[in-house]
Amino acid sequence: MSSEMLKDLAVRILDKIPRRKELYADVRIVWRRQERLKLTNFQPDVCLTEEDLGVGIRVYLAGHWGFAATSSLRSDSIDRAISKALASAGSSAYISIQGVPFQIPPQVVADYQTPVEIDPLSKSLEDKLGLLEAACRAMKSEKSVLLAEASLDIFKESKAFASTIGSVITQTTVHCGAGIAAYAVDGPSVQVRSYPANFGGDYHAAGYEFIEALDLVGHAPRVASEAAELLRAPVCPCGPTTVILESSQLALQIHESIGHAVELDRILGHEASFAGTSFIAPEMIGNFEYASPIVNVTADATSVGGLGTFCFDDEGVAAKAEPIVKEGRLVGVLSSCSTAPLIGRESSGAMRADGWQHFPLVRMTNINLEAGNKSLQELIEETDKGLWLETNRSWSIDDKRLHFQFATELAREINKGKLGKLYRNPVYFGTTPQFWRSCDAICGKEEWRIWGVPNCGKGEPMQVARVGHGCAPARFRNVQVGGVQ
Amino acid sequence: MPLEKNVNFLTEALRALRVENCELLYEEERRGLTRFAQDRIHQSSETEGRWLTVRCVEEGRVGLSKTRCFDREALARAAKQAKELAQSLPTPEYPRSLPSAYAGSFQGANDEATAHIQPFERAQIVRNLLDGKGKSKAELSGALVTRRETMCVVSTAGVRVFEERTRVDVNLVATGSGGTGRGFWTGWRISDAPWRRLLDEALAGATSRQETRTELRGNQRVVLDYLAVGQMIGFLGYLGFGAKSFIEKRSFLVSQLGEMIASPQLTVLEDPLSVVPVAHDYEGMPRKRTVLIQEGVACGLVTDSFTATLMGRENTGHAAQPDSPEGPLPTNMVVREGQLSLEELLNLVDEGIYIRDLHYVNVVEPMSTTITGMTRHGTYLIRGGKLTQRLPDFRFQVKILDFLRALIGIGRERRPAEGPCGIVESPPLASECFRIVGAAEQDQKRRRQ
Repeated sequence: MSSEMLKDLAVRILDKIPRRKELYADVRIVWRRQERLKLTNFQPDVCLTEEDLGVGIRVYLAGHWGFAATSSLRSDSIDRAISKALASAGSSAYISIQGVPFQIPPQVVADYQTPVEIDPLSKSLEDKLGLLEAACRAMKSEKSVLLAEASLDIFKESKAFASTIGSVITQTTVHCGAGIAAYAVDGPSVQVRSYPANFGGDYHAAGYEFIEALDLVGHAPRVASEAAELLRAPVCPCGPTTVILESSQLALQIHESIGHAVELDRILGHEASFAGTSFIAPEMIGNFEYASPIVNVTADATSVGGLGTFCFDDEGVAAKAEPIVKEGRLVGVLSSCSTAPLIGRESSGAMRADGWQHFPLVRMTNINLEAGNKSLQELIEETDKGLWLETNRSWSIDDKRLHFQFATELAREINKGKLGKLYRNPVYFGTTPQFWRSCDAICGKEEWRIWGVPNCGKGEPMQVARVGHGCAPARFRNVQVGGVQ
Repeated sequence: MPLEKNVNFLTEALRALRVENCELLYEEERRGLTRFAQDRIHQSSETEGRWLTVRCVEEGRVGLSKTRCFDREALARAAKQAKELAQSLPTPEYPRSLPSAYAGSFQGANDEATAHIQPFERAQIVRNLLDGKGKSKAELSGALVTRRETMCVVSTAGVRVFEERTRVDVNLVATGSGGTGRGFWTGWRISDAPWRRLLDEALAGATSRQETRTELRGNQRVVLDYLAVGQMIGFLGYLGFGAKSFIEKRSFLVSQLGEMIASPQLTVLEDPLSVVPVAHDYEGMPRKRTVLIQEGVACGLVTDSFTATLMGRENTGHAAQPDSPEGPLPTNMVVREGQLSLEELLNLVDEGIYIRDLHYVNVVEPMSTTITGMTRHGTYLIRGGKLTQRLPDFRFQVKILDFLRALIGIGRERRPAEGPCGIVESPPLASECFRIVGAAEQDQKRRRQ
């Protein structure tokens, strides 16, 4: 369905909503096309095409939000959804529960599209499957690899937004991702190595050119041999040490211990019943030492290639690049038109919904750790003793985003400035501000890249957001590290 | 749409597609949601959506196509895409096929009052909960979700199945001077929800005073209440008791099926009709009650039609949604109850800790069943067989099998809790093995605590 058709439909649905003086409403129509292909040992695992379409209607009436959504675009279904949205807003007012504020965003009319070189949906199935099959074969050349997985995921979304203040926006985003994983097995021991990251690889707002550039087949033999090598590697030693985090692992560290912690709805307690709150209190914004002075973090919804890149959020607020941590100090948060007024700020443009069927929430955009000034070689050479930790394997953090534990697929000893022995099953843990305050070096722009996280869960029932994290490898001192037997 | 009409519609659609070896899966959900925090409803929504999944099998290769569009053109397009996808795939070593003919229906857990609850009725429930706090200064937050779910499966192999059910999830968290407390309930009939008990449990956690920080490290004797047990047992099911990971040799069960893996006190079943009954799987096959652990011995796992054929075992009817990469998993696990009250379990432990709930649990190492996470919503010191002071939350890292081998007592009251892939109905468990690896930092200056 074209953007123009979606836009016309959104405006027509908006016109059906009975106007009242005090009413604000917006309509969001979302069309999605997804293609997921996964081979395991060259065998088809999940191979799917998916087409999703529906409309979400949000109304704000006398201080209360109501929302209704339907996958049917028939006139009677739309009418029912409008009635339900109004009834939902009215129900909260009906029992006199305190209302929520809403800062009406500026009117805007705009169109946006992800720049794409090769339309991923135009690429033939044979080409895509051929790539995955070749990657599986290359991994299976290693004897101990019993399971070789290769997958790719193509996501295209067209969205039309229309609101009672006269905003009309269409946005088309295209995301591509791919990855490989080799499972080496020796009796009861199983070790996994993946590329470019675990859990499906890496994702970009880009066309098929991104998947081609990953060179899955070229990396497959290394991935397989590292998985086999890990079977024989000793368990990672325990104790405090210096760690250098490879950038895909650092991306997840940023995600869990900065990104979620600075979501204003969590800070205000709106997510207390499920995902939790935040160790940050509103009065800490502007004066809390979050990290060492070399750490600068930006919420940038305009980053090229980020999964959190868009032109307007799902309230029609323009995408921004806002500092979150500046020279180590907490200066900003992620917010919406209903949460920002509660702390006397303006929306940061971070209100995003998963598809048409959900009420938008405060979500991450691209939460980027700005580049430092070292090369990776310098960073390692300047480290006397420590560990290089690469590729996430497991993550967990408490409900205030304070106490975390991560496991990575591998650790390499750093001894007198050189990478050495391989260790298996490393874990590291710490507390958010202490950990970030121990950051004493960040690699420069040459090592900086943006990683895509397509599965960020939040809300109740769970909504999945696609977000990005730009970063380069960074060094942290005195980190508690352990190994799982 | 009434059920019969759904099935007839699908059967007609299948016939019109003129595709061989084809299955249509229809799913419909109508969901009402009210979320609240700090005495405000911040989300109230009503959603209705339906999906059609077309599964085509061509010489053992499976192509899938999903759509929300139901006009003739869209259905034909979906079928064509699924067929073309199947034809493009490499020839599999183990060909797949559609399950053979079966007809069935289930509406045994379908409550009209739950299906038709209105937004203002849900808001009234929230109002009642807020009023029920009385003089407590704790802040309440939570979510009330009601659903009606419809599923139909028809196939050219002769499957013709429909099922309609309702579901209610209530999650209630109170935040007060002592920390947080939680009440959780799930069922299929809103009139069954024990509102007062949920509120009391949440408030109890919020008002119990947090005492001075206690350094606890290493192995502890513990009582895990049913919410925490739901996570432990649920992760065990996820890691080991699905056929796909077993076939792929990624499951700890590969070397331990038929072996004693837990205390002989422990029996765990997969009972699809427990708590929130689901009678058919996503291939339309009847879901069967399956014993997973019998008196400590690992004796079964759950399968779908493909994995059952590969393993030469019975199909237990646990096919996941066709696009799920996980394969069949236990989704309605039940831990057989014991004889002991909570007080007796505390007595048995004598010196140790009581844990109400676990938060953000994740797998660290699957073959050793090592998981990590935080304790949440009430962690207490047990001294002399009694709950004494409230403790801060702790990070744990535990091998689930070690915990289950060291069981010393099982409670007598089963209650439903959330696991990673479904509901786990369980009593509290007492064990001598639960490893604490760190304490949460004291909260920074919090506005509300």
